[in-house]
Amino acid sequence: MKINFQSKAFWKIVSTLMLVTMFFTFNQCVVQQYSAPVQTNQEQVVFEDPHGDPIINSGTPPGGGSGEFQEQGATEVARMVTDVGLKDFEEVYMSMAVVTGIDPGNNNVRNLFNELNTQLPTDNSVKNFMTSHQIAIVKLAGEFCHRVFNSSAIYNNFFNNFNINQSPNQGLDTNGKVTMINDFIARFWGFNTQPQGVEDEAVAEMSAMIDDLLVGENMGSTATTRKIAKGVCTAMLASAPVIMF
Amino acid sequence: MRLLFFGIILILSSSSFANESRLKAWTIHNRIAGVPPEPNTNTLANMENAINANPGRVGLENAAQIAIQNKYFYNLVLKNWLKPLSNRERSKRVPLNDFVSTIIGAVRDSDQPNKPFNRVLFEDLVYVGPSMGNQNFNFSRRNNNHFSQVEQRNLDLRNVLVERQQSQNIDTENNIEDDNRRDETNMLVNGMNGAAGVFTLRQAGAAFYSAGTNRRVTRYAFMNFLCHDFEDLHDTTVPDFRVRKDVERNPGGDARTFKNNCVGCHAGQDAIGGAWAYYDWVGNNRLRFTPGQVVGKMNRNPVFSEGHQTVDDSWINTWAYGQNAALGWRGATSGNGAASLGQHFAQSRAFAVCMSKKVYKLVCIKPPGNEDEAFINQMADELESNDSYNMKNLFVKTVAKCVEDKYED
Repeated sequence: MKINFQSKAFWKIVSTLMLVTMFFTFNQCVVQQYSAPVQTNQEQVVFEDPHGDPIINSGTPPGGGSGEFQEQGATEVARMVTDVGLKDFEEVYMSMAVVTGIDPGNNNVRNLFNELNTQLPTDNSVKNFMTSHQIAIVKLAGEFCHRVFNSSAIYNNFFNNFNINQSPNQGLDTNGKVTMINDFIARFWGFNTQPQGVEDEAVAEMSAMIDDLLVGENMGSTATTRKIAKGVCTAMLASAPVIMF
Repeated sequence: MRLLFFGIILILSSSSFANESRLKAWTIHNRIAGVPPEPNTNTLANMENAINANPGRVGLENAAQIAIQNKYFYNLVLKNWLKPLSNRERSKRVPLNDFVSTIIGAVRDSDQPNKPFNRVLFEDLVYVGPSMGNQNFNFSRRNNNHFSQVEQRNLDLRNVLVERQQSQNIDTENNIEDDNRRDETNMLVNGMNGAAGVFTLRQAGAAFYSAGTNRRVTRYAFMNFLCHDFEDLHDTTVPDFRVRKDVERNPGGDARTFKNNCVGCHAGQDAIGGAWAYYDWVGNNRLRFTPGQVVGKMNRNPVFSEGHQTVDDSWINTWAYGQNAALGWRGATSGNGAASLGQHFAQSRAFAVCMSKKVYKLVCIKPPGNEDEAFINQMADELESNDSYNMKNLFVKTVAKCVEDKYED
């Protein structure tokens, strides 16, 4: 059979075939829809009944609660189960209040919390953790730390070992930095509760941050020490050991 | 920021710990109370000592017993766990209300003699806060101000909640406005007591009895306390003699749709839902109980005149047989009134299993898997043992199990 390449019908067929091919090609590339596992209980069960006559289990029992107890998601990764949790909005807020000692009813922190409320995590799934959550958490931590280091009545009783009423020249040498950071760890993270190496790494990271923050600052002023403490406080209060569990 | 990511990665990946007992204690406290142990107290050390004194699950349970005494177990973890149950949107971001405070109170008292937790579904009870020193914030059946204030003032729910009866004067101090309106809002009318646990509280009225046909009450009861939505329970083999008049028998001109689809939910829920026939949300502010008088919306919109006419508050659990017998119903499968239906729910195996699963998901931060089925059943057995329904015991044992599993790998 001779093919007429000038024929409109020929090009219609070619176009249709190409469209069909493209359709199936793209269809195969789409992530497969998640099929929730069907929970079935094959056994006949008669419940021990302290209240009266039991009803004998028969037939096919219903499924698993309309997804309440199933990890949702379209991909394998999304359906992965993890036993690490993220604190929700109020758990983050109250955790910060507990470890800093700031009254959660304090108008300044409460107002910011109300403002940031919907930007903070809603549930405890770490899989839902987003950048916006992190930004809100850092903002909130900053306000709590501002309240701590803005009141002598609070900051004078905040540290167990570090002397906040020294200038950086006096108090923020190598040992002084470690003392300050360890006091924060003890207060915010509970000393010795973290996976091995985390506290050492935190000391190293925070020490480097203190050095960065001190550049260009007045090394003879106690106000500078409080500013530095506020920075370290914010970083450690917004960190994983406080906001995750 | 760097520290945050660094911490997350290390927590997720590391399998060796500086002090495992201390880390377990820290985790238990955070999971149970939602907050770390208070600095400069002995709480963490006491929990660590409890774990070291009894290696294994027992030590972890003893540590959890310490954590569960924290105020924030009630003010934070329980509160935010229960709030989604109290509204249609299933949101945590709603004010404290009588529905939530009553369940919190019932959890708190569930380790007391004759205070099994499952009574929240049928007894004449409500947990209220203290006198607020301002009549506008004292308990009222007409608004939620009292509970909102209790939350705003961050009052210690562990201590301030007191049990009262819905059918009695439950003002925390004189409340003239509420006294004058009591006849319109009381659960005790003409000698009939309509109280049925959380199902007849004001918040339940606002969320589940408002507008509609009162079917929402049944659906949310199943979702909240039996962990099954209607689509789970869909069963077209159930007799449809109790399907109400407002359900079209010939939808879209095809009667098969009714028989093969609509019946699956309506044959069960309409038969059960008769229990709510005397309740309605009125004036956009209160739940009204009208014994002997079926509320209008139960028989509204009669598109099929031969359908079931609700004439009283009788209910029949047509789902007690067939596939939905798997929920483990016990006792009488029919009765009159909301309290008897609430008791039917409360006695079911599904209730105990549901509570065990919900607590597991809350404190383990993951749904129970197939490998946890034996544990869930064991916890349900313990809840039911001697009709104790001790929820605090359930929290303690579940968090101990999770933490043991988490760190034994």
